[in-house]
Amino acid sequence: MIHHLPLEIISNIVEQLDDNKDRYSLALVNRFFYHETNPILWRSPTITSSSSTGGDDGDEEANTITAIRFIVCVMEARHLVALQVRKLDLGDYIWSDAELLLVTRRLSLLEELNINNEACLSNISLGCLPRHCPNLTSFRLADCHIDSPALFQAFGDEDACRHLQCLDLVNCAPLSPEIVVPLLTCPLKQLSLHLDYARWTTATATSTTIEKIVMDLPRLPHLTHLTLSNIADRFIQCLLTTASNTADASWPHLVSFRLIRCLGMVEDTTLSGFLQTHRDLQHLTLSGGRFSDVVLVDTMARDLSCLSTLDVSHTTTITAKGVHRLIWHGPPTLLWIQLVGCHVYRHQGQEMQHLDGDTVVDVVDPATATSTTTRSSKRRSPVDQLDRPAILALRQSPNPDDLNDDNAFLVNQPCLQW
Amino acid sequence: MSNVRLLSSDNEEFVVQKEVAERSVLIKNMLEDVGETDSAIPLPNVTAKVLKKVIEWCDHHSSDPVTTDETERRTTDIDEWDQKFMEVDQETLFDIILAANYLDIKPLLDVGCKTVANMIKGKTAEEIRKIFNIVNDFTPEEEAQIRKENEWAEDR
Repeated sequence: MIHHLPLEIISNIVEQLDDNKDRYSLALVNRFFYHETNPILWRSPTITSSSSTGGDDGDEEANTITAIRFIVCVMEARHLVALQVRKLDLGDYIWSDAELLLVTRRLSLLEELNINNEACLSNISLGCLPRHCPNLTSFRLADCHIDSPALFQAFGDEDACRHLQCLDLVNCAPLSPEIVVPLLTCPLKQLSLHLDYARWTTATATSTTIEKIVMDLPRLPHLTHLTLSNIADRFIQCLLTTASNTADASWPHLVSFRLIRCLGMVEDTTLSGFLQTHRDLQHLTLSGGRFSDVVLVDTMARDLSCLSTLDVSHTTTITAKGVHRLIWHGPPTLLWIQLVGCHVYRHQGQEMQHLDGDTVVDVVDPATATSTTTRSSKRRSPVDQLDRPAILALRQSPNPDDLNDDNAFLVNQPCLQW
Repeated sequence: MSNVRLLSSDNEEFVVQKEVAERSVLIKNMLEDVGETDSAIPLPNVTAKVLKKVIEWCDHHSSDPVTTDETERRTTDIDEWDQKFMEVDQETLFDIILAANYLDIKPLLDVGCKTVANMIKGKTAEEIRKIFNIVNDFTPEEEAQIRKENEWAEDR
C-alpha cells in the first residue's frame, strides 16, 4: 500500500523525518525504502550522540563513539554513498587533523561545513579543504586555533573552491592579515567576523593584522550580509569612511549589516555617510555606540526605505523621542527595534492596566535598574524591545515632537498591550 | 459568492463554494482557463468518499493565508483539527494524500505526509514493516551490509 504512493510523496514523507534514527530505521525496512531513504540519511549526518544531554563525561564518551563510527563508516562507505553528504556539522567531538583529512577527501560534494568546537585542527587538514570539497558554499569555523595563513590562501588556489558564499569566523586566532584577498575569487555573500580578545592577546602584530583585514573588506563587492564584532572603533571609523567614499556603494547589495561591540566613538557623520550610501539595508545592528538621535531621525528615517529590523542596544546616547520620531517618520517596513540597555522607558499611566509581559520583555539589567530608581518614579519601566504591535501603537500615538519627556514613550490609548 | 460543481470519479456531484474549491490549485487554474461555467468539473482520479473528505478539509481551511514559504509550511506542526481529521484508516489516509497531490493542495499534502511520518517516528524497522504491512525483501547479507554502512546513525 504505502509503496504504491508516487516517489515524490515518499520523499516528502522521508523529509518530514528530521531524526536520522528514524531515517535509519526506514532504510532498513526493505529495498524500496532503502533506495528512497539512504541518500537523505547521508545528506546531513548528525554526529552528536542522540543520548547526549550536554555536559558530562558520559556524553563525551557517547559523542566520541558516534564520531569515530561516522569516520569509519565514511572510510568504508561505497563511493556513491559518501558523495551524498552535503552538510556536515562536526559536533562536539574534538577532531584531529588526520580524522578530518580522511573524511573530507571522501566527501567531495560537501556544500556546508560547521566546525564548532575547540578542535585541534591546523592547516594540515583545513588547508586541504578547498581542494577536497570544491563545492563548499558555506563554512563556519568557531573557537579554532589557526596556526598559519595557508587556510585562506588555499581558497584562492586555481583548482580549489570557487563557490564559497558564506563564511563565519568566530573566535579564531591568530588570523592572518591575508584573509580577504584569497577570497576575492569566491562569490562571497555573507561574512561574519567575531574576534575574541582573550585569544588575540598572545598574538603579535594584532592591530596591523586587524586593520589589514578590515580595510580589505570593501573589496568583496557581492556581500549581502556583513557582521563584525569586537573590532576596535578606529578601524570601523576608517572602514565606514572608505566604504562610503567610493563613487558607488562598496557593497551595493548589502541588506544586513551588523556591528556588535565595534562602534565605540564612531562619529554621527561617518555613520550617516555610510548608511546614506547603502540604502537597501533591511537589517541593521549598531550596538554599544555613542551616536545620537540625528542618525535615527535624519538618516535612517529618511534614507533607509527598506529597513525592517534595527538593533541599537546599549546605545545610551539616543532617546525615546528619537526612536519615536524614527517610527513616525521612518519606513513602514520597520517592524522590530531592539533597545536593551538604552535607558529608554515607557510611562505607566494609571489607565494602562494591561501590560503584556510577552510583548515587552522587562529584563532589567543592573545599570538600568539603578537609573530607574534614581531618575524616575515607579510609573516608568524600561523598554527592551519594540515589536510589531508596539511599533504600530507608537505610529498612531501623538506626534513625538510635542512630547516633553525625551526618555520615555507615552501612549495615550488605554488598552494598548505593550 | 458563486458555487462550483465537482464531479467525482464515481459520478457523484458536489456543489462547493468557489473560494473553498480554489484551495486546489488544479481547480483554480481550470476555473481561470475556462471562466464562468455551469458544467461540473470532472475529477476522474478522486472517488466521492475521498472528495467529500477533501472538501471538508478545504472548507475548514478556506480562510487560511496561503504560505509560500516552503520551509515554514513543512516545519509547522499539525494542528488539533487536522490531527482529528486524519484519524482515518490507512487506505483512506493514502487516498487523501493522493487526491491532495492530484488536486495540488500542498498544505493538505503536507498534513498527510506529516501524519505518515508521525506513524514512523520512534519505530524500529520491524515495527514499521508491521504497521504498513511491508515484506522484508533483503537477504541477510544485504541487511548486515546496510547496518554496517549506517552504523553511525544507529541508536545506542
